[in-house]
Amino acid sequence: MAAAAHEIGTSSRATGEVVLEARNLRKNFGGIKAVDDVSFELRNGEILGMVGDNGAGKSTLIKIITGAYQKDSGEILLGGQPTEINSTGHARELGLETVYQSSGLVEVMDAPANLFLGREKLKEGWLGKYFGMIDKRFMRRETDNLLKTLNITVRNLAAPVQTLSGGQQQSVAVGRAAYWRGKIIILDEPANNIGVDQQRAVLELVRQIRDQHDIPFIMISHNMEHIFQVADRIIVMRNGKKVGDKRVADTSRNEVVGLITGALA
Amino acid sequence: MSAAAPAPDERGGFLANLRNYHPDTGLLISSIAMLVVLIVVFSFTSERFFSQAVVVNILNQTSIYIIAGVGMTLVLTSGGIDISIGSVIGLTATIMGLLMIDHGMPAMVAILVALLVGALCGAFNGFLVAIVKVPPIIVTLGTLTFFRGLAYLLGEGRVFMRFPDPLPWIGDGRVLGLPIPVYIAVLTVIGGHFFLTSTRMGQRITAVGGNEEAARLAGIDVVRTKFFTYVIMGVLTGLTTVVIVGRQDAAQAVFGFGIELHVIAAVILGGTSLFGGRGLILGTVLGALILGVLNTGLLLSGVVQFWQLVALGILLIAVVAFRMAREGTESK
Repeated sequence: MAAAAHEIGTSSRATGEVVLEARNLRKNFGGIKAVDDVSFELRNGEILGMVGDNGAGKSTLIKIITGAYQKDSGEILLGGQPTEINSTGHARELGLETVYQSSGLVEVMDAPANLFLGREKLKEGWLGKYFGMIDKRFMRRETDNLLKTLNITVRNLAAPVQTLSGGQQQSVAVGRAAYWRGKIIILDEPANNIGVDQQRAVLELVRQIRDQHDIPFIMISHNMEHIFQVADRIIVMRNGKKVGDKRVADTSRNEVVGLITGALA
Repeated sequence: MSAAAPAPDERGGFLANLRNYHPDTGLLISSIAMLVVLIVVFSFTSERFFSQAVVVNILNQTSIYIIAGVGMTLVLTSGGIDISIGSVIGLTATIMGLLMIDHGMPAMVAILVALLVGALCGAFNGFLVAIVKVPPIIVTLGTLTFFRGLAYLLGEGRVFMRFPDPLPWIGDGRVLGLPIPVYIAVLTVIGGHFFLTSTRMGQRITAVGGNEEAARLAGIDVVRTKFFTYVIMGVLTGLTTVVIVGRQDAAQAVFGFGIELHVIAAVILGGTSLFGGRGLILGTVLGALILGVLNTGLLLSGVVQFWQLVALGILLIAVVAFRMAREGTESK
């Protein structure tokens, strides 16, 4: 299985145009250089793995991209255009969908409500316009279709998502990012805290969405296996600096681990 | 992923419906069962229980708890609580008395002012909860004494009486044999149920109460949602006051004392979660009716009032304990 996964990883398809480019990003917290002159690019249809030890700066880097932090200096280009990302809401408007570690779902609500969370579909006509009435039938149908395309089986669509397995919840969260036509999907430890089988399902889903819709992903993970299973390219962070930017086909787990720990400099 | 795929059959026979049953259905059925059991028991212990007068009386008494209960359901669903409503009633009743009795303001205008006073009290609570971010139980504990104090200061210990029409009619009038407050309660329930289950704001109230962080990350304005919830609670408290003042044809600063406990008990009995994210307006109606039937039934069966209080307390704790035990086995 691992070998097969590696096969797919090596058949890198990162040939699309550059959708996101970061140039010389810097972010300091007090005297600490959390992100120190980092540049990278992301191409359409590419899954970019981001690895590094705790405190290596990957999380700060991602927060700059998703508008949670403001950079001190540097430039972010979306589709070639220099862009200031002011807030997480702004990032979402720009097509940057983020799936958080804790999945970001409201566990007590059902799948349709979660898919449309904060973006509820209103009914056509005066009921929607003046009373804010939502189109439940539409939301339910869209959810049903989405879950079917993603091969997620949900017994009861009206049940709270907390009755789904952890992997299914994460799949719904990833599916939601894809449904809203994110131009770029950012995954923060997507397969943490869930069972091994379910981890594989979530990673499979990531690859499927990439293949079907050509959506690029940035995926942060501690898990080297996960990265090597799905990523086309790997960025290694260490002490706030980018110390490696390798195509998966051209590197090995040993090399990446060496870069993370600083054994290879 | 778009309109290309055919719509799934949404009326896919009995089995499909059973599979897609709504999880709240079980809670509502258990509340109905409890209500039926109480009614059956009291029909044996008291001969007069089924008389029209008694049934109408229960509905009439229950209506004020239902009106306030709809607002309380929304507040609990948003993850908050409002224990100040009794004092808001006292304050609003006092202001109604001052305006109509002392200053001769027409009843219809005074009713609008009452709703506005309620809304302002709610906005004050909402401001402290949503914007200053003080925990709701602390905020409303503070405003519980604050609003009551204001009511006593304004009312100066007076009892306002003999209100102008149509206020007494709103509290005590009948149409087709049923008291007006019952109609007001029914309309409030229909509106509240539609609002919570079928509107964008209702969804967002549930989302904020269910997982505030996820709601915020999804772009929901959490501050606005919470604030708005307390304002609705305030307006419905104002409406409750109108009914109470109309029924008594009197107003006093002490009005509404302790009502919050009764209202919260009805809402919780009805299946709304005390921890937010799940609200059942129809459950609140059943919860209020259960309390009404219990009180009247025990009274007619010759049980002294102190035992009624004991029974009410036991029932509330037993129902919540039972429900939590069941939920514990259902999830995980």
